[in-house]
Amino acid sequence: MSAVAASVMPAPGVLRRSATFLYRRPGLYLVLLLVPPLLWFGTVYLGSLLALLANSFYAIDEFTAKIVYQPTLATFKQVVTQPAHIDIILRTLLMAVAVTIACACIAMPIANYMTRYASPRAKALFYVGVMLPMWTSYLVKVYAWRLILAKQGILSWLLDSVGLGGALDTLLRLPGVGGPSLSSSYLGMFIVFVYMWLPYMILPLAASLERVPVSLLQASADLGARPGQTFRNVVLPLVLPGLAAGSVFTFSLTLGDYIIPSVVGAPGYFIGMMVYQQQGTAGNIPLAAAFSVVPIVLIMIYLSLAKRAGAFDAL
Amino acid sequence: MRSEAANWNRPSSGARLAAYAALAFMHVPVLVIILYAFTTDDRTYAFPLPGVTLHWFSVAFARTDIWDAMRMSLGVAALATLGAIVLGSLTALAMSRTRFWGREGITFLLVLPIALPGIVTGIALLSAIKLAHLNPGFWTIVAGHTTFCIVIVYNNVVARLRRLPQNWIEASMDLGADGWQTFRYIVLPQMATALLAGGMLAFALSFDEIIVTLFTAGHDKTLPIWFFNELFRPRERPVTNVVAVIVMVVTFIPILLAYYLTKPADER
Amino acid sequence: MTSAIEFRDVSRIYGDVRAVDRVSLTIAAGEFFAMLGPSGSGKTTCLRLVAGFEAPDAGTVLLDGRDVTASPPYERDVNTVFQDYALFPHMSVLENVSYGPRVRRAARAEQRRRALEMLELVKLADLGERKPSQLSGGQRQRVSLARALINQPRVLLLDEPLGALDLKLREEMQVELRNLQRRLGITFVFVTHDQGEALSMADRVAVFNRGRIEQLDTPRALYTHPATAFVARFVGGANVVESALAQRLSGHSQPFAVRAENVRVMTAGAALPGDAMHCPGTVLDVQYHGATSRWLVKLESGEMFAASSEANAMTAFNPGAPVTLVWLRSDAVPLAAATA
Repeated sequence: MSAVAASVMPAPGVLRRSATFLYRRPGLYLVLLLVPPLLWFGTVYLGSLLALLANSFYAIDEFTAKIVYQPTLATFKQVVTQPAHIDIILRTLLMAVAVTIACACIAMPIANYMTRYASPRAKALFYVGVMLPMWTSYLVKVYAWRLILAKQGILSWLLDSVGLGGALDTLLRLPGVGGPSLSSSYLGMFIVFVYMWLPYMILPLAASLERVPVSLLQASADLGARPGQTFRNVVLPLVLPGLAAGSVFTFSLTLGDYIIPSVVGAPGYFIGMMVYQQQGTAGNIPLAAAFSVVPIVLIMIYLSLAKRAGAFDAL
Repeated sequence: MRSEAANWNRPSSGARLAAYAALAFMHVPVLVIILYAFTTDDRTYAFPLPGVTLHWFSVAFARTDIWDAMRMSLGVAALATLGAIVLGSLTALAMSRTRFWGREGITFLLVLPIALPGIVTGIALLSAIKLAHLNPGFWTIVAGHTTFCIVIVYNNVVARLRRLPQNWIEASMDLGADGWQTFRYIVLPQMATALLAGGMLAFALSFDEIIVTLFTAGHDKTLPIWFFNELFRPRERPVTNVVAVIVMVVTFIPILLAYYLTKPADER
Repeated sequence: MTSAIEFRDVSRIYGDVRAVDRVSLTIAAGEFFAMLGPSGSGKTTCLRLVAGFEAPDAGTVLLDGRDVTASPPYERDVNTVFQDYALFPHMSVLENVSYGPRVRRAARAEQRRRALEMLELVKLADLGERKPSQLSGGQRQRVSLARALINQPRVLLLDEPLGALDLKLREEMQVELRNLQRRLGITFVFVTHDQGEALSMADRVAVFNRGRIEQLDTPRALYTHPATAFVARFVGGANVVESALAQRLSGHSQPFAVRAENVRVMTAGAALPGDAMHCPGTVLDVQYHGATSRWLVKLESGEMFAASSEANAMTAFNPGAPVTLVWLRSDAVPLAAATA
């Protein structure tokens, strides 16, 4: 009977037998899939992190400039007790906080407009417009700012033509903020940081704003609140998770960056620069490692604060 | 009263202006770079441009150090993308279906290279290289790049796999296909665009990477490293700009393509 | 003759939910078999256990007398038509249908020939080049049917095949499926929650509830002699008289069922026929169903009773009217004493 003949299965080859073998053992299948990536991660990444930690517990012999493979807390002590080092940490921390606050202040009106008032087409334009700079090469953007901020560059030309050239000079003469030119001052650095991380603040904020139901705003207006009051009392508390999520990016990205302080920087060192310097010319890897533990700790602390504010639900 | 009610949600013209101005502002630096690639002034960054020329493009194309660095970057990006595709897909296939112990741990692990600051990853890799007495160079760069590119491919592929209805796989097996055949005829074709998109994002990320690369490169130079050095000892400034334009184009296009590939079909 | 499908004490447990609870059944070759029940009753899980998409936690599944409990789906001579058709969107209709021969390494020409043959069978011969997204629901269903039949399986499983179709299409497909099954002579097992569908199409029906089969019988037997209160209610919506009321009405505490069409509504106090059971109540609602009317009557003791008849058979009783419900003793079907 042809019906029987057509339904006879072909004799199982090796491939099929292996397939059935794995089918009956889903656990084995999973393990086989995960072994290569986990092996890679384990050795390359986790191994490196352990090496980092290990190195931070070593110290450099001052005479031979070679690493002494004896566990010690001396390097850590160096990091947290030497006044120059404390300076560096505080400077970096301050910048990170300042940048975060500035990003939040600038991102809020943009995100607010984007989500609440823009027509659907304008909204799409805004989203793509915010993401485009994110897609542009990091180094190119930093370099672009170096051009813009340079002496006689675009920004000074702009300010001169509106007569604010003098104001810029005064600003640059302020200690702690200014410098020889915008492209080598803390102010310039600050501007670049804010520019670079702005999209990272806008996107989570916009997502959070989208989730605020319009009915709440209507209710608030209905009860007599002006837009400013509605914003302060209704919107702001509700978008706190989005703000927290965005701030995690701006904070940790600023804390660890060493490119921008080098390219658009003032003489004072930042943590990232310290790490880069120490492993490079000085060859003092233990110190570099110990220094890099600082941002890890700071970020962990910040993450736990952000988690309390609901940042992880907003991501 | 009526007009007030209608206006409660209308933004002030100031707010609208500010928002659009901020949006435009975010694109100024990119335009600046492109502009300065054409300047005749090779000593300063003076504005307005004294003159416009294409001369620097030909200069750039003649310089061997730029080509060497470009080749290195392309090589690293290609290998890192390959590694990321393989390892990322394996992980995605494992994580998209069953729930198992340690699943969240793996997600956390994958994100870590991108979540921790670049210097941490950089110095960690360097520590490991030194401890193992290896020579930093091409292969260490590739190793570093592969590691943080894995999560990029993984995210794309796992999102796609999770949208694959379970009963397509059941239907395929029901009709006589075993696991390998089902993967070849059903899963892989569906995964293809996500894989491609993830690969392109990984390529762009690797090509543009500077922070970790500076730690793991030793004496080898990728294009971003060449670029970074030029910032401090510029030989011919506009050439640097030309390279910047090249880097921008090479990293921007894959990302744009990846964006279009991952949009749901009805929105294209 | 070995049965086409046999379950021996099969159980499937998810956590602490017994989706299938020690089910045993036998389906004969060439039978049109239905698994009927509400959602969550275990009927779909049983179907999946036959197909091989799930493995039982206890018991054995046999196909043609062979133990296939550990066999993957591609080693079973069974094919499935899925509820949402599960057509592969990146393949054309022809490629979908020829998938079976393709994975069995048939020659390209052979694949095409057999696929076209199948499409002829389901009357979709000229739609071969289209993609599934370009087809209507009814057409997609036929394609999934063709795709499942091309391997000439011994058993065809259908998971709620007609649920997504509108009424007219559904009735057409019911007839077509029945004819198809007779022509092919293979065993059809289909899952449905629609008792009308199960009764009109199947040779035998298994009624599922909470992971167990409450009754496995021909449609007629299920309808006229339900075994449990659940079956009585689910198949045809009979009135179920529980023990307490049964005691008062019949003198025994065994629960019984009475079909609504066997219950007559009479004015309170009217003369009653002999050998009948009766019960007073008040009319709650009257529903007009076209050919019939349905009265909902509330008994003194609080239970609800349904009586239906042809529209002009009984005099009109309005809501609130006191009535007596009457039915022949022989129309009372005794049910299992277990709780519904």
